[in-house]
Amino acid sequence: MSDQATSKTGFLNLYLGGSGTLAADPFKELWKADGGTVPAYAVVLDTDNPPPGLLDRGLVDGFIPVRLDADQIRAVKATPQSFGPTVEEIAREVGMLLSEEELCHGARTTRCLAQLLFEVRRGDVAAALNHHLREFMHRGGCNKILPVLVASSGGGTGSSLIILLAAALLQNEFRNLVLQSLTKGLLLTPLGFVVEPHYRAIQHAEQPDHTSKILGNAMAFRIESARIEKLGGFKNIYHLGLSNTKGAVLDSERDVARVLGTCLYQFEKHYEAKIKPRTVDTSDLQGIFGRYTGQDVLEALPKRVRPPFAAVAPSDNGRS
Amino acid sequence: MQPKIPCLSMLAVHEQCLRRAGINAAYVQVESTGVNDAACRLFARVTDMLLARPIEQGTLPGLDSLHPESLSEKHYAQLAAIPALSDPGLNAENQDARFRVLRDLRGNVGSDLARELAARAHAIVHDEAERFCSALQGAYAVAPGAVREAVLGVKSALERMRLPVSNDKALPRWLNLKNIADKLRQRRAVLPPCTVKLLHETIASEVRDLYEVCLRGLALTCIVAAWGEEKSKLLRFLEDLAKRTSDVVAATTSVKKCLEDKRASVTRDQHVSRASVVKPLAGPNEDQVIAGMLAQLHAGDETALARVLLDRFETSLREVCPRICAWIGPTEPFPELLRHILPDTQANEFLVVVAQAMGPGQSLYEVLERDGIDDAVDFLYHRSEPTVDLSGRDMPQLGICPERLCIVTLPTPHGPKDCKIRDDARAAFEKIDPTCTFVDAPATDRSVTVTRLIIGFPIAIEGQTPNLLSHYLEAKKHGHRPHLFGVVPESPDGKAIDQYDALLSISPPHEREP
Repeated sequence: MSDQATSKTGFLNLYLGGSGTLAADPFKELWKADGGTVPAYAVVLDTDNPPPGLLDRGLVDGFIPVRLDADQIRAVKATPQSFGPTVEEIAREVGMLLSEEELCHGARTTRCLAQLLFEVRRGDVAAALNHHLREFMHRGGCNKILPVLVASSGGGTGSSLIILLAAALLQNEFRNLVLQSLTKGLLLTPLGFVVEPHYRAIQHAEQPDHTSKILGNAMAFRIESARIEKLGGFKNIYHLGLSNTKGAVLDSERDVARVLGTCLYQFEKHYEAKIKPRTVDTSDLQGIFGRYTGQDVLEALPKRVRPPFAAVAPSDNGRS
Repeated sequence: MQPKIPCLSMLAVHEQCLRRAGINAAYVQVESTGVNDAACRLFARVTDMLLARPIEQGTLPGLDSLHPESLSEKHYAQLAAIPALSDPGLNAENQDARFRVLRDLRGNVGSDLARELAARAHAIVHDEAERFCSALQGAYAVAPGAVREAVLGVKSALERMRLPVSNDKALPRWLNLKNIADKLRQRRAVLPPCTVKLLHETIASEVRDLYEVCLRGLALTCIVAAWGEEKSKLLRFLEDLAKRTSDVVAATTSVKKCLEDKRASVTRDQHVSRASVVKPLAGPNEDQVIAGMLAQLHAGDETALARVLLDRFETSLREVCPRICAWIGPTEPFPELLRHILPDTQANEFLVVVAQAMGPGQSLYEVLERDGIDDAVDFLYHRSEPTVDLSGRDMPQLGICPERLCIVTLPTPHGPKDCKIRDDARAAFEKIDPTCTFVDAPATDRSVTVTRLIIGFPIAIEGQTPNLLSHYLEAKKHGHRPHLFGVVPESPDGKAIDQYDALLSISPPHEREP
């Protein structure tokens, strides 16, 4: 007797940091107008307090704080080695930034501070994700869940948590905690929805140092996410930039929120029926086997034109 | 001097997966709050109409039917039919038997008869109370506002009601007469026979009257006892009904607020920049919307229009009820749907009802046609282009063939010309991009949305990378650590990667490519 179980995929939207949370309101508005037909569940993770009313108004289904209070920060500073080598390293290298007064309000554009908070709270985050997965399954009746990590690439919190979560889900220990008592195949490879931080940088145009920090973080995100992608931590990462060649400019928080929420909703609504069938034979395969073959890369340049301190291995033209 | 050579602003590009994507959306927005204004105005009329509906004459039984005295008449009729309590007439032996039964019942001696009487009394009171509640429930379904007033009146009357007290003197008087009759019998030899007969007849006659009084008293006592229990149940029912009617009023107020919030939100969204992804369309104002609806529905005035909309609103809530409020049956009274369905959902449904009733020339499609279909389609398609720049490197010779998708969401047609306009819009989209996919928007979504995706390129070729690299290295000068610790091997301590200085020195972003 054949088992013809219909697979139902649900979307676990993890809004990471302040910019990630911008999508919550417009997404929920579209979701409600559609009669809640898309199986979606939303959780905010942040190092700061959530915007007031987010939970009360039902815009998200849960909030996972990735933060420490003043006493806990003092404890971590006093004995960082008790929280693992990464925390110890961060405390040693940037200890001057671990202020009890400031860190209570979030990572504030310094990505490794969000990393420290995440590492200390790692177990709690995994347990909370497990709780929310079970809650989602009760409501949605899904047998597959696609995590969608929504964040800005330039902030301190969102751009860190998206990398950290994707990397953590590749590690057996964390993944097993998240999937405790659930089936191993429940969680699919995450997707990323990333807002470029140009609109934030524009807001700080009078502080070029801060602008450089934000946009520098975005570059770091690109480098790190390329590595995590290669390890299989992301299925795809969708970027939303500032402008296109046809006159659109999204440089206000309102526009960004609206477009992010709309794109996220439309993507999830049409993923199974319209997007996946188109990509399964094309971009999904290209994602595994395809590589850029152009020669305008540093590794392909003749040795004579490379600076002496550029100690890079020669390129194999994408054969690996 | 080292020549500047164009090269991508990332290291190990050939190792990058082709998993990056871009996504963007554009949509139309009717630049007026006419529909929302009309919905707010008409909803106020609809709720006033519902809450002001009177209770139809004869729907509710009078409160007198619940009074213990009238209920005890029914019970008296039942008691008189019971052989042990039936009319003894003037027969002394029967009268004595009735006396004993009535005395035992009065003395609360437990017996099958006593239990039967209590059960019958309870049934009479309960049935009448049920009938009254059922009538109120029926009135609530049609006229919740008027029922609220009625319930308050009934509650007040019940609380003021003084329970009648039965005549306690009849049975002792009967006992006296019985004793007199006994003594008369004992002394009948002493008195003249006609006197004895006359006295016996007089006593029997009075006893018969007393029997009736006692029986009525018994009926009243049983009814009053049952009434005490039933009264508290009735008061609870009335409390619950009063609360429900208040909830209905509160629900309509909440729905009204939701409609006003939606209008405020639409007003806020009206200001659209020319560089936005939103295509503004000039829509009808409130009076035009209402005038159109009056013509469309052949309504003489707004009151008649409100009546039609009220019926349609009720139908619409019954249709969505199983999906969004499954614990309430779709056949429940309309006020129950108003109480239980979320105000925001009700507001959305009412907006759909208004949109579906709009007159000619006012549907989204007709507004779109007036504005220019080709113009709108062109705007939507091109403004929704993903905001990523592939630097011209999306070419098969470079191994990059990203998948491009365009999903167009079109609202359901309402007006008579809408189907044709929708087809024209589809054709206009297909003319630009034959691979567009079309889907229907939900009923409450009165917008055309275009979502475009481009999937399958390496992040290194994205056009902003050189700019970001400059800032990355600039921030490095100020001691900023942009990386996470240990995620990339080249940055175990979060610092910017030194090799990237090489890239900038070889190919600064501001240098033009040869």
